[in-house]
Amino acid sequence: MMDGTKTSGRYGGFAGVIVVIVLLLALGASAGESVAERRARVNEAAVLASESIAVLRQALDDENALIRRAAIRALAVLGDEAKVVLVVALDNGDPVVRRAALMALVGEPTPAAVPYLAKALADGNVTLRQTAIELLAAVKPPSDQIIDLLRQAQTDESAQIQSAAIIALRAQGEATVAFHPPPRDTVLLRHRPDVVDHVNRITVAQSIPLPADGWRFRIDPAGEGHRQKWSEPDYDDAAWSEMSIEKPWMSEYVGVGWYRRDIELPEPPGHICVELVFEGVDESAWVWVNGVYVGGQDIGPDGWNQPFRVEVTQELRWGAVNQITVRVLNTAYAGGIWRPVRLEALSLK
Amino acid sequence: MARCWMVLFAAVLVCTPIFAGEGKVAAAITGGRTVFQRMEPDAKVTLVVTNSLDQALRTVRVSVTLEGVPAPIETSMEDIPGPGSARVEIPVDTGLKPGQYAITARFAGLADDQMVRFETKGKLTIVARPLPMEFPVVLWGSADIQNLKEIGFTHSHYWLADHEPVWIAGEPVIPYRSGDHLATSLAALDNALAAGIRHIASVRPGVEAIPEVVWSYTNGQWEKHEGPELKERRAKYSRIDRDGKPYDRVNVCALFPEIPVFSYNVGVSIGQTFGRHPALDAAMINTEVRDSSNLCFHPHDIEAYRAYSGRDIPSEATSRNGITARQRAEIVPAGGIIADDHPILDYYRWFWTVGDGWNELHTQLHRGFKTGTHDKFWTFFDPAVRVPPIWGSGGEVDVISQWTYTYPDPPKIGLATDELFAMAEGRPGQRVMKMTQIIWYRNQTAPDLPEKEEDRADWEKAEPKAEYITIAPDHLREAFWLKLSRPVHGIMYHGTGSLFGGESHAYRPTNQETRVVLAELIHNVIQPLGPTLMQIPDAPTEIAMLESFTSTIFGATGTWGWGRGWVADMHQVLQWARLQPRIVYEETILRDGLDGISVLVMPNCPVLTQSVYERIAEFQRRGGVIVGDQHLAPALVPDIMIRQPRTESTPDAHKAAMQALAAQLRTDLEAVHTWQVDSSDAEVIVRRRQYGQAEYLFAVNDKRTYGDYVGQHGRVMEKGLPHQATLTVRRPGATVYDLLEGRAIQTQETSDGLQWESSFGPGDGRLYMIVPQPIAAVRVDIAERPPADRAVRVRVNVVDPSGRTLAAVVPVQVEVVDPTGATAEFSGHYGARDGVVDLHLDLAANDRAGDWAVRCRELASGRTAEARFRYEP
Repeated sequence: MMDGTKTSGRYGGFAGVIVVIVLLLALGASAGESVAERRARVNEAAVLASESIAVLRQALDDENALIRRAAIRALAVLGDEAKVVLVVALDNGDPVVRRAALMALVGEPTPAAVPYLAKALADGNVTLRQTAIELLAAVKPPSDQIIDLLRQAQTDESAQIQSAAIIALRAQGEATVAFHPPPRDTVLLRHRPDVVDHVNRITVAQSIPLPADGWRFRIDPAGEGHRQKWSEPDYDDAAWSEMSIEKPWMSEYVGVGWYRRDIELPEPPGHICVELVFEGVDESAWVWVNGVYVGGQDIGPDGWNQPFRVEVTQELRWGAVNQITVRVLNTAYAGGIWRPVRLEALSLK
Repeated sequence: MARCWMVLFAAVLVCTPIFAGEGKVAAAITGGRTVFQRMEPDAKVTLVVTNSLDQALRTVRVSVTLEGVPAPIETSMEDIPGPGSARVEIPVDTGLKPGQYAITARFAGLADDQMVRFETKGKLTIVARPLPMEFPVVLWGSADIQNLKEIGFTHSHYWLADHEPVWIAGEPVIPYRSGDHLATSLAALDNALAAGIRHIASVRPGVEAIPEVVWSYTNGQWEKHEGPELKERRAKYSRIDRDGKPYDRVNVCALFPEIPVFSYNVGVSIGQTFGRHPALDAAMINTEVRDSSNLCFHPHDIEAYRAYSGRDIPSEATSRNGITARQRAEIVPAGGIIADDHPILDYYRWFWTVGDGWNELHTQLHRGFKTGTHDKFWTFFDPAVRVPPIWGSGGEVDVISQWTYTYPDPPKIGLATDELFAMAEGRPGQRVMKMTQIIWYRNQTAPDLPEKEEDRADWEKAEPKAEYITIAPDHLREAFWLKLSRPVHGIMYHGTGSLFGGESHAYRPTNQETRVVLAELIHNVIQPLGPTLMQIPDAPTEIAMLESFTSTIFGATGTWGWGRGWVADMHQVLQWARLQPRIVYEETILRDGLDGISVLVMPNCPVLTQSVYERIAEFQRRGGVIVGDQHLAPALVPDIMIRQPRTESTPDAHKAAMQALAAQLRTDLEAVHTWQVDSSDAEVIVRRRQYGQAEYLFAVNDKRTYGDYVGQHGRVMEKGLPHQATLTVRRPGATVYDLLEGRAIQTQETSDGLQWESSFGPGDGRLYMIVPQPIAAVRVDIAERPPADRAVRVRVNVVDPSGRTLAAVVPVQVEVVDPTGATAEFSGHYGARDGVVDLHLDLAANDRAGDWAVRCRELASGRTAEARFRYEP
């Protein structure tokens, strides 16, 4: 049971029975008594320990939410003594009551709590489901069942639940929305062993800003885009919506979104390598050039304002049209390619 | 900088010297002051004599006469070498009545036994003393006097931020400026004093300790200095991260011991040089510095924390914002309750109060100023709540302030203001002012310039490249009222270019109506009612909203003074529910408990300390109601759940969603809360202040739609709409006065109070005074005195039908009229506290003899009174 201020019974034996009877009468006698007064009686019942459970159980079905919630709070404090009632309360009509009952039963999450959490994950109330995900993520070590439950939650109808599931899976080191980017073995110029101590030799031979407008965009709540090859150069994105970069995408969509655009490049400048520079993508990005995965950045929510660059020397075609695709994952607030993107042709002094 | 300098030159008062002594001896009134405030002590005018003769000028006698003053001032000067110069200071009688006086200084001396006579003429000005309880209206910036007066600003900035000589000296430099530079500065202050404007010194020693460039004033010019020594200094004193690297956003490490010393020395230097000048009323201290403050890892920073806590800085501390939500999940128990001395919390608590050093830096600067400034001088820091919710921001400054942009919803102004009051709770006596940004970021309000000329608004055609456009007038009006509905002690505005125009290409005045509206508000509301508002405290409220420092540090999104996010939304929900929320910090709860609070709203509070949790749980056990959200620390069970919804994509949809939550909350609270004041719908926000038994009801119209200024871009509903609402108060039998219209209004009795209909213009506010007894009369009493006595005691009484003075603060206008019919000193607006205004007129020796009148009009019901006295000096 979760920690809380547990008060031992003040009224024992016969006296306790008398008090309970009084409370039952009081709780039932709503005529002429305000909600605040009835709530005060429920609060008083909390100090009666086991003698009050029947009263509190009755109060869980009170028509007034404040009474119900005072009752579940009192039951949660009673802990193990009230476990039977708490389990029953998982099916209470009041989601706040159900959530409090869940928290009381789970306490610090252990594998034993998973059945309660699985039940909560199927609850019709989004707050219950979100609580369940957070508690599932706290169970150590995560079992396969937990990972499966979290993966299922990625396709929840609520974007907030999707977000919570994605965050939980990432915290467990699991791939989200079942996306496994292929490894890249390219190295940025500045990281090359022969350059790393001489980065001041790097010069930008040509910088080509990518247009802010003219991108195609599509959200991918189910995380299926990569399976459906949305990064292929000849993929038909005509039905996708128009989107500009250098600003967040619409509202606070949480999940995956894809950007596509064709970029026509001039003849090649004198350079030794080319890098695609992203000033800011909120929050993770995977990039394809002409259908080839070239890298990205995936450092979690903290990546939202972190610039990054990917090596594209081999994949880029100068004097031709190039297809750029960017898959973006956002887990909180607004997301997207919200800062400029540019190509940098680099050389060494 | 160049523009500031032009302002300085414009303010120089030059007195024309009269040459004599065969043209080789001259005198001038220069180098000092020529404008004084009435009754100002130690007033002196400086006369400089320049002797171009080859021989000394000896036994120089000086006779100074002031126009209208019969007796000249006689004095002598020491011998003036030839060639050479000397100065003499002549005392000024500031007991003279306000006005401008011609001054003539005549000199006579001997040069080689030949009498040399010469003279100089000029003008001295005596200005009236400011009225008590003047309500500051600050232009956060500078503008010419005419513009300031047109709007009604009382204060503007004055640039005094050339601190390098103090850094070099390592001690106070007094005078802070010298020669022409000092004279120019004093002349600028004089100029402001003569116009009735007060200046605020803008000083940032915390920034100028590590300058990129240094400016020095030489021979009337500013010179720029750069060099490797400045870079070295900047590198040495800047904050560094765990790896020893400087941050991209440079910020001084205030724990270097020489930095607070420098701050103090700057305060002493300016305070003791200019601080007695009545026109220098305040200092803005280290503005906007904490946004770039960051965790610092110099050896002395590490050691300072070790000395404080006995521990090392926790490894999780890498960001000024605290740890991430992901880290929280790994660290915080499921119930969300942590120990009071949790190492991460303990470090951040130290950092944001002591460890980043800024609070102490502000304190040192404040203390330095106070070594030399006049009694009314105030210091202020802004933006003071761009920090997590923990006491101490601003250190010991007298005033804290915050700037806020009104878009998308003006009630955001209320959030920042309430946050300031929560912050000031930590330093009793600290006052709060509030700034509204005149500027709007174009990219957030009207970002895309239509391609076709015909699709553009007029201002977009005229100012296609403007980056900071003008706030919409209806937003300005609404924000004004929302500020005034709180007990602020001043209001501020920033954005000279967007208000008045000027050279800036970025700051452009794109809405001319805004300027008109601002002037109307200042002249019609602040000037008559400001002294009253200055004296009315807030009313007690039963609704509190917790901004949790612990949660903020453990990965929950706080407002950080920006008015964004769910916490900010919840505060607006409370306003739209007409609940008058008070913001409390965890420290408030621990120090004061939650007595008097019946509803505690806890948005985004996933983590609490054990002590705070226990206080809140006990509050709930005693009958307090908790309004929580899905983020609430699970150890607490909310009585009412308001789930954070997804943010809607358009302002109208977002506002509607928040107002729906407000309606839900009102329903949920009906059984346990009673609204003391209310309006018939969410579009009229009500708020009350209270003095004794008198209540002051503010009602503000928030009904808005998309207009054709920026509304066509879909980012802001900037156009206010007229509206009507029924207002109710639980004050049976009370009398209600409309303080804007100066009349009692008709009300209807309800079962437990009063109600009336109120009409609003766009963004409009109304102010009602509700008192248990009506005003029956206003009286002016003048104490008996001999006609020659200059001291005249006047008392204005606002009384109820029983003849008792009203237990309220009542706005009154007083006119003191001399025998010629001219308005005299102390005429103006007052707030009659407990129905009383006491005036102590110190008539001047040169005031007109004859019958004087004191006329009074109280502005609640419009009643008037007059009394007369005779003056025969």
